[in-house]
Amino acid sequence: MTILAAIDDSAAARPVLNFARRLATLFATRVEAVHVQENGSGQSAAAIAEAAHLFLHVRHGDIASALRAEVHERDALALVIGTRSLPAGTTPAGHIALDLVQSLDLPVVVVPPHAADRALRRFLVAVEGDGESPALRGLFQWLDTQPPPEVVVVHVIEPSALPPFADSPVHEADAFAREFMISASQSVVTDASRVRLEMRIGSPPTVLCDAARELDVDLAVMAWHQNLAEGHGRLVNEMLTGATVPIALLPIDLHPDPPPLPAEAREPRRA
Amino acid sequence: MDGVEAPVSLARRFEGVMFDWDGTAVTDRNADASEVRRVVERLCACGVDVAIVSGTHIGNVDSQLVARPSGPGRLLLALNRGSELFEVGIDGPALLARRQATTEEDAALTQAAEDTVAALAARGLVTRIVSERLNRRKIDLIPVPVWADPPKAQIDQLLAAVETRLRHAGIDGLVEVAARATDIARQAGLADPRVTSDAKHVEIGLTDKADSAAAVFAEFWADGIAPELVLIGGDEFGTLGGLPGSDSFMLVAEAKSAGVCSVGVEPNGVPSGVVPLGGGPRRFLRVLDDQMRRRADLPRIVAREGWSFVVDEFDPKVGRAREALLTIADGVIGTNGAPLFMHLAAQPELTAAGVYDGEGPLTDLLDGPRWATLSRALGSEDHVLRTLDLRNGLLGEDVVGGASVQSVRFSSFARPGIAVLRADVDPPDTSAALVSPDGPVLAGVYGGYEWMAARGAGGSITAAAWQDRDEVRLDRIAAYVVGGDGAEPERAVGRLGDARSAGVNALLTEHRRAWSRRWERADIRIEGDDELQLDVRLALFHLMASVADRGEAAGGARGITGHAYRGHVFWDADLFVLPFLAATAPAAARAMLEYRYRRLPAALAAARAEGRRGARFPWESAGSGFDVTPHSGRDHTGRVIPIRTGEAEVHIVGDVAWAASCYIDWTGDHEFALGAGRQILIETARYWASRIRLDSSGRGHLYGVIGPDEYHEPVDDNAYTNVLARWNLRGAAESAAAVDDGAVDRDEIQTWLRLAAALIDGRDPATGIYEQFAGFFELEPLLIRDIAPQRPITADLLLGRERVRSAQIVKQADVLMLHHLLPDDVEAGSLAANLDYYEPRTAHGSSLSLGIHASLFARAGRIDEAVTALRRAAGVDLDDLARTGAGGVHLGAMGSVWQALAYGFAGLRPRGDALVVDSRLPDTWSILELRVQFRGVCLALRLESEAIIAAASAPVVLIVDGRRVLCPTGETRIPRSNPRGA
Repeated sequence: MTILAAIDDSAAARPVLNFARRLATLFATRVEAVHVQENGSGQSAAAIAEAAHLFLHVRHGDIASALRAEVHERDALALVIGTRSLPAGTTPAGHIALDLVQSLDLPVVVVPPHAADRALRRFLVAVEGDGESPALRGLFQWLDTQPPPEVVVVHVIEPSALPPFADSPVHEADAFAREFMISASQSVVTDASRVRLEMRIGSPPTVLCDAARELDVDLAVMAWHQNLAEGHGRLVNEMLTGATVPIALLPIDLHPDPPPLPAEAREPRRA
Repeated sequence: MDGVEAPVSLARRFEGVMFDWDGTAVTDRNADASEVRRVVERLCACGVDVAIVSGTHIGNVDSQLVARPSGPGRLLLALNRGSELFEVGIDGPALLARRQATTEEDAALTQAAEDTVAALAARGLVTRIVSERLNRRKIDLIPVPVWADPPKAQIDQLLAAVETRLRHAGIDGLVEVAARATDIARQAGLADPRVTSDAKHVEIGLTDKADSAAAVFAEFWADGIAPELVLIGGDEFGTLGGLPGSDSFMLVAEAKSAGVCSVGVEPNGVPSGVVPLGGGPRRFLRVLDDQMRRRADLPRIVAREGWSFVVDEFDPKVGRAREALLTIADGVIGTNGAPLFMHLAAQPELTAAGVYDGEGPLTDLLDGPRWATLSRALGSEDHVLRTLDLRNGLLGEDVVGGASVQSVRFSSFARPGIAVLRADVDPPDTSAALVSPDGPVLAGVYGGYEWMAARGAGGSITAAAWQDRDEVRLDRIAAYVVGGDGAEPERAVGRLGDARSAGVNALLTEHRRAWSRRWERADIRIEGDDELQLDVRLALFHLMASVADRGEAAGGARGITGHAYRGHVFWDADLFVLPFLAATAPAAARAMLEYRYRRLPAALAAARAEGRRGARFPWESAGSGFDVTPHSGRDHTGRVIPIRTGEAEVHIVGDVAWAASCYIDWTGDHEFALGAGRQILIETARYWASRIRLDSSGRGHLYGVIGPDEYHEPVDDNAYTNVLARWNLRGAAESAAAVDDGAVDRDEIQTWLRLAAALIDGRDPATGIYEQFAGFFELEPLLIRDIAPQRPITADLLLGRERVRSAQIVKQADVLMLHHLLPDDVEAGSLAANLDYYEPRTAHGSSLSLGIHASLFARAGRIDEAVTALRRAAGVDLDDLARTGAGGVHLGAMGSVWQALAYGFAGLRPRGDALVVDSRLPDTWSILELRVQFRGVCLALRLESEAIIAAASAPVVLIVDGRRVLCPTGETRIPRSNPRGA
């Protein structure tokens, strides 16, 4: 199992490779770099891989198709790609990135060109609406037995879905958080103590991008149905546009069933 | 009756048995009834209610049966053809009720009998009035020696002989005799004569076996036994000479759901629904023996409309909120309704009222050892059906799929702290009886029983348990003792031993009866709105279940149904929960006040710490009585916000005093009024006296407070706080002056009265509107009604705290709380103007708001709005509106539902020794019936559009339409001079 880093000749290549290496450290695995030559020479990509002491697999042809083939061939844990080539501004993600995130049945990490290179200490997991958390479940299944970093679950309530009552706002939020953590502990098969909840109110993309900065996270994790057709995937699209941190997109359909009952829950504790 | 012979409709466990005596239980009145006695006493010992119905008198039945059951099942004798009801205990029969004929009725009966005999004689038929019985006259149609005392087995020969005799006189059988007797009785002045015949006699009476059956069903229901759980036995259900058989009168409306069997000859067959067994008394004994054996069966839970809360699935998404709603509690321990089988989305919990762990703001309810858990995991193929029987406090849970479970469990209302589970589990269960909560526990074996204890900073929860397995059957009893400093296995095992001695059946009977008796004094019946009816009963159920009726009762915001609000005690307890209990279960209300009273020293110390006098009760209270309100925390926005309620929401001081006064108003408890209640009033008044500041013009102010509207903090001269303080000062002055015991000197009393008079209340004399606090009218005049997408809404989250603070947006009833709590202390007639002004400005961002507004809308005659608000208040938990239902039910909101109905729609208000009733009902409700206790008198108030029907256990004075009406014991109909309170 490897972390596959897809790099091009752009300024985004180095952040992609850096993040892939950080991710490989987390997963205790290795990185394989791949470049698909289309029009460019591939010199920059090769230099960046060499500087990172990585062998660069070079492929030719349609980029998205070639990368899909690489993913399957190398049994990748995740594909790390760049959001777009230019760091300036908040332009939409490139068409190749959008193609891949919708078509691959594994986690795809999309790295913005200005992403910082630093150890992965804290992940943000986005949760909307009623607190359902496929992203949290997906993250821990993705991590499998690896010790998780600190996980900050950000629950975003849209103004149209505000709770009608808060007899005591703090107790109410506390009660909500308590229930959320009970649910989270059901999703998280490993160490739930690494998970904490932050609540926010507002438009989810804006709030999540702000929260990612404010909470100083290294990765935002989202679960989604891999559909960016009109009327779908608005949040993912806007996050890819606006986020300054890498975003891991976990296909929901990868893990349609709830996890098995943890061993310790099968037998109640007794005297 | 053995299982092979038993028809399906009878081959089940019944909880009440009602049967005819002569011909059904015994062959005749000289027969040996020792076998009947044996089985009757055994049934009663196992918790079955038994009722014997007979036309004869107590001497005949009791001397033949001679049963002396010691309970817990009751033996009732419904005798004298529906005119008397006895209960037989270990000391013999005691009269429960007697229909007493008036002098006129008695004379009319005699006249009717004599005229009937004369009419028959005119046809040449010699008959005879053989005896004078209570409320009836008996005419012997065949007074010849050979038929002097015919056995039941010869009923058809007897009938033939009587019919022959009648025809010789040109009379067309018994039917004609009965019809003639009925006519004659009416002519004699009896409006509703009951004419029956056993072939030999025709009887003219005021009552018949239908009255017996109705009385027995009512007694059974008062014990929590629904008609579906009643078995009726007789021997004469079919027609006799064209007349209905005498036992057919037992087939009243309730009997449609009961099991019915006949052991008689029944020459003309039996009515539909009656199982003809034949075989006479010997057969009926086998029926009773079969019921005796069925005590080992699983008790049945009957799903009844308006009484059953059913959750017909296990939905992981809403499972936790449902668990809270399905909580079974006994005032001491609360066990949520998580499925018996384990599931990741379920969280079984057991907490005890007033037993905490942690310190300061982090003080939280301690989790105790759990008893309602089986070790198997709930599979995706398992379908779970849970039924909460509100009437009886029973939780049934059936599972079908990968495993099979039928079960009943309860937390004993009769023995708080005793929990019982009976389950049939296939494949058989192997789990331990007790499961430890998260956190450290002590555990061991004492006296042969497993025990386990959780210990917190504020007490402990110790449980001991026993269980018995027999293949698929599991019986489990757990006994809890709570509150001690450490593990108390000896006490827990002692309680367990007592419970085991009683056994599951007896525990069930006494528990069911305790719940049912509570309902008899607390129920609310709404005819015309079935959905609301169930919602209201669910609210009352949790209110009753969450508060103990002895010792002290800490009424946490979510009761003992969950951990939200950490079990802290707020004003919810004093103002929202307590009034219901004061009016229906005074002992429980007293226990809530005892909780406050025992923390009076802490309140005195808190006031001293503020540099003030008197008692400063805490906004959030737990074990110690010192404030446990957090000082800051994160809200839904994720921001850390300061929390100032602990320091400034001082109206809690007056709220506690109001609760004491409310209790006194409803109960007239002089001992409390002169003791603890007086102390509370005095010390709270002292607090206000030391806090009020007089300005240069002599006007009194309370600065820096938070009112119920917590969107604005702190404020000066909050109208609610000021008027409450004024009421508190005056009430304390009156109480102090009433007893010259030196506790309060005259100068202090005068100071209180002077300060009360000086306190400003913000009322604008021009409009009658009270300004909520100084400067409220100058705030941005936003109407949240118009700008919010919907209400209720958390306006502070919608608009931001700062914006809300600068606007006329109110969280919940604030000024209007005065009109609700202290209607005599606000300007008369000011409700309408203040409701018009404040309601559109109210976000209802507290679960406590809607119920109070429902009450006020009703008082203001805005009935449609009242009903809408009431429905929303009742749906707070059922719809899990705040999405924190998993943390427990909103007990205060549930209390507000009762207040909306009692204070709002029914218009109940204690006024000295009288109770005001001023109902205002929606057209869609044909009847609103409330049961309350006022000054020790149990009252059932049936409110109809044109009249109030009051059924009182003792004389009581009601004030209706401004008139004082003395209602004697029994039922009184009071016509309304102002129907519907329009």
